[in-house]
Amino acid sequence: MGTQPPLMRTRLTRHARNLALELVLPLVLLVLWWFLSARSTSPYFPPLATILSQFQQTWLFAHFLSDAVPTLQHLAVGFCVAVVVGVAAGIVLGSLPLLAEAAAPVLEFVRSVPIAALLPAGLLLLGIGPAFQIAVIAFSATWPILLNTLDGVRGIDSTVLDFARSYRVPMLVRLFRITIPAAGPNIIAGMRVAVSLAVSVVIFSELIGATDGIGYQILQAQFSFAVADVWAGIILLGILGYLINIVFRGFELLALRQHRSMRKPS
Amino acid sequence: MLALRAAFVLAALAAWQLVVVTGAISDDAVAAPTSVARELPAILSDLAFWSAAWDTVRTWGIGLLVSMALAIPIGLVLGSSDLAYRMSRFTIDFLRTIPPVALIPLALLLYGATLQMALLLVVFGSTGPLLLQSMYGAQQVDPQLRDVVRGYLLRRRDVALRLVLPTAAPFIATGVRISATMSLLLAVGAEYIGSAPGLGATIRVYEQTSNIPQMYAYIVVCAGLGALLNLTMMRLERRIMAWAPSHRS
Repeated sequence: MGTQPPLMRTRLTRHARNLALELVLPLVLLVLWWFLSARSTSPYFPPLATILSQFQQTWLFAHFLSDAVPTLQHLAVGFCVAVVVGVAAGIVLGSLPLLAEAAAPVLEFVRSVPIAALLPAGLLLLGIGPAFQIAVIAFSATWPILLNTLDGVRGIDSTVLDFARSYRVPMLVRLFRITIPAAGPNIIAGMRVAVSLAVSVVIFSELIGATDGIGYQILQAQFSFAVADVWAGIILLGILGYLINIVFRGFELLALRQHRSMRKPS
Repeated sequence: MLALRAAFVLAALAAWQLVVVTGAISDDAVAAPTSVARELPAILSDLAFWSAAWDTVRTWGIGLLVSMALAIPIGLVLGSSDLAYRMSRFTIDFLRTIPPVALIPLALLLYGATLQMALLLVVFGSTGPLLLQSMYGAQQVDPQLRDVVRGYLLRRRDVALRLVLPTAAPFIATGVRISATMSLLLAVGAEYIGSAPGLGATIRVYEQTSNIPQMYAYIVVCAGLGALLNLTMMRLERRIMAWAPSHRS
C-alpha cells in the first residue's frame, strides 16, 4: 500500500479518467470513419469531410432558424400538451378506480395502435402543417404519461388518502401536495418514455406532413439525391437528441431531489 | 366488471359514430365505425390483405430476431465489465437518441422500397432499448456472488450461463417486450412512409385514393395486431420468467 493521495485529487483524476474513457471510443470511431470514407466514391457513403462541410453549410446556421427551430417548437408544444393531458387524465382515472377498470380495454387498445398507422387519420383531419404535427406528437406522448400516472396514483398509500379526507384537506392542496408529489417518480418515468417517442413522432410528422423542419430537410435532400445532406441531418438529430436527453436528466434530478427530501423522515 | 368494460367499449364506439354522423368530423377524414365494420369482412377474406399482413409480421419478426442476436450478447458483455461499459456509454447514448425514423430517407436511397429498407430501420430502432436493458441486467450481478463463483474457478462459460444470464434474464425479457412494440411501430412506419410492402403501404394507397372506410379498416387491423402483440408478449414474459423473483406476485 502506497500513501493515500489527497481525496480531492483522487476524485478529480477519477472524473478525468472516466471522461477520457467515455470519449475514447467515439473519437476512435470518428477517426476511423474519417479515414475509411476519405476516398469513398460510393454515392451513399460520402467522405466524412464532405458530410461535415455540408453540415456546416446547412445547419450552422443557414437552416437552423428556419428548420431546426420549428422542429424543437413543435416538439416542445406537443410534449407539454401531452404532459398536461396525460397527468390530468391519469389522476382522474387513478382516483376513480371503477372508471379506470372499465376503460382499461379501450386504453390498452388505443395505446397499442402503432402510431404510424394513425398518422394518415391525423393528416386527413388536420391537413399538412403545425396543427397536425403537434396533435400527433401530443397524442402519442400522452399514453406513456397517462398510464404511468395512473399507476402512480393507484399506488398511493390508502392511509394517506384517508388521513387527508378525515382532515378535510382541500382538494387543490390534496392534488398538489399529496397526489402529484406521490405519483412524481411514475410521472417522470412516463415522461422519459414520452420524450423519446415524441422525438420519433416529430420526425415522422415532418416526413409526411410538413413544410419545414429537420425531417423535412432530410426528405428534400433525399429527393434531390444529396446524400451528404441526408447524413448531415441525421447527425444533427443525434446531437439535438443527446442535448434533449441531458436537459431531461437535469430536470429529472431536480424533480426527484424534491421528492427525496419530501420522503425524508422528520 | 366485464359488463362495465363492454359498456365502456360500446360507449366509446357510440361516441365515435356520433361525431361522424352528426358531421362534427367530416366523413372525408374519419370513417364511422359502422362503415369500418362493413369493410372488415371483405378485407379479411381478401388475399391481398393476408399477404400484406404477412409482410408486416415478417419484417417485424426478422427485425426483432436480428436485434436480439445483436443486442443481447453485446449488452451482456458490455454490462459485465465496468471498463467496457464506461467506454461505450457515450457512443450508445448518442446513437440511441437518433430517431430511427430519420433513417428512412437514407435507407430508401440505399435499398429502395424493399424489405431490407424496413429491416434496416427496425433493427436500428429496436437494438437500442434491448442493448440498454441487457447491459443493465448484467450489471445487476451481485459482485460477492461473482467473486465466489470466480473463486471456485468456474469456467467462463459457466459464469456466463449460470450467473450472468439468469441475473439479467428478467431485464432482457422487459427489453424484448419494449423492442417488440418498437419493431412493429417501425415496420408499419417504414411501410407507410417508404412504401415497403406491408399493411402500412396499403394504408397509404387507400389514403391517396380516398378510400376512407378501407383505410380505417386497415388502421383498426393494425391496432388489433399491436394489441395482440402486446398481450402475447406480456403473457409470454410472465410465463417464461415465472421463476424470477421480480416476476413473482
